[in-house]
Amino acid sequence: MTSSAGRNFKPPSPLSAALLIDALRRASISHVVVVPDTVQKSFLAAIGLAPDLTQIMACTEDEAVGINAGLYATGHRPLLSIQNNGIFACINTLRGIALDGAVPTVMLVGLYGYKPTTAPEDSPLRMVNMLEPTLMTWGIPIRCLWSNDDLVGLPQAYEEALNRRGPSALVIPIPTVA
Amino acid sequence: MRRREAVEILTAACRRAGALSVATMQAVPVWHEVAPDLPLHMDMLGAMGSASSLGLGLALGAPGRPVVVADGDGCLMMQLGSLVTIGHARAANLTLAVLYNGTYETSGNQPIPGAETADFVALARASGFANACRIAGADELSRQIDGLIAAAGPNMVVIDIAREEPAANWPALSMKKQIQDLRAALAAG
Repeated sequence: MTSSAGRNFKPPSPLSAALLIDALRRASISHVVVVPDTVQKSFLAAIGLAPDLTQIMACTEDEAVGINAGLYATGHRPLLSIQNNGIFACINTLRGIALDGAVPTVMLVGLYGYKPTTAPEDSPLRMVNMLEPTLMTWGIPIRCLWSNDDLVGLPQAYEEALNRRGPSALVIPIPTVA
Repeated sequence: MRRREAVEILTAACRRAGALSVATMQAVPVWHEVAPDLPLHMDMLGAMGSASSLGLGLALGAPGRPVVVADGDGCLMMQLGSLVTIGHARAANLTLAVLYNGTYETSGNQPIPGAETADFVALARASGFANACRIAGADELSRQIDGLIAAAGPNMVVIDIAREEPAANWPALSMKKQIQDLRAALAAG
C-alpha cells in the first residue's frame, strides 16, 4: 500500500497479536477504542488480557472517533481498532473531528475482504481497493503493516499523528495471529 | 421553557460542580452568550451527532469530574447507539441533557422522526443508564439538576424546550483551540 504495492508487491505475513500489543505499549497507548473487526480477532482477544490497555467498545466508528477525541482532550493516548468498512461509514465524523477539529486519531484498520494474492489496489472488491484512494482523497496518511517488521514504526506513526494533529491509518491486511 | 433558560440552568450547575461540558448545534450560541467564561468546555459543531460520544470520551478520560453534555434531540438520534455504548461503559460521571423540541431547528424546524412516538427516557433506561427523567419546567430543572449531575450515572435528563427560530449569530469557535485549552487546564489541575 502507499502507492508502491502494485510495483513492489510481496505477500503479507500475519501480525502477531502479542507483538502488536508490545508495539502499542512502546507507543504508550492508554486506550483502544474498538468496533470489532474480523481481521483483528486474535488481537482483540489479546487486548482483553492486557490490563494496562483499556478497551472501550463502541457501537459504530462514528462513536469511536468521538470517544477518541474526548480521551485525547483529557490527556490520554487513545487509538482506534476498526475495519475498512468502518472508515467508509465514518468519513464525515473523521472530517469534522479528526481533520477540521485537528484531533490526533490513529486507526488500526483491518482490511476485511482482502485476499493476499494481489496488491490491495488490484483486489476486485471496492471495500479493499477503495480504502487507500478514499483516505488519500481526504489527505489521511496511510501505512500498511505488511509484517511484524513494520511494527517497529508504529510508535513513530503515533507521534507523527500527535504532532500533525490529525488522523492516520495503520492497515492490517490479513488476520492477526495469537 | 426556552432554550436560553435551560442553558442558564445547565451552565450554572456546571459551574457549581466544576464539570466538563459539551454543547452542540443550537445550544452552542446561547451557551457562549450566557457563560462565555465557563472553563473546561468544548463544542461539537463539525460532526452533528457526536456530542454524546465526545462526552463519553471526556467522562472516561476524567473520571474524577462530572461531565455534562447539552445535546439536541435530532443530534442524539444521529448516534442513537451511543446510548448503548454509554450504558455499557457505565460512565458514572456522565450526564446527557437532551434539549427536546421535536424538530431539526437549524434546518427549519422540520419534525424529527419519532417526535410523537419515540421515548428517549425509556431508550436510556433500556440502554443501561442509571437515571433518566424528563423535565418540562425551569423550576423543576433548577431543583433537580445538581442532584442529577452528582448522582452515579450515566444520567439522562430530557428537557422540553419551545420551538424557536434558529440562532442568527454564531460565535467563532475552534475545536482545535478548545481541545488544547482543555488539555492545558486539566494538566494544570
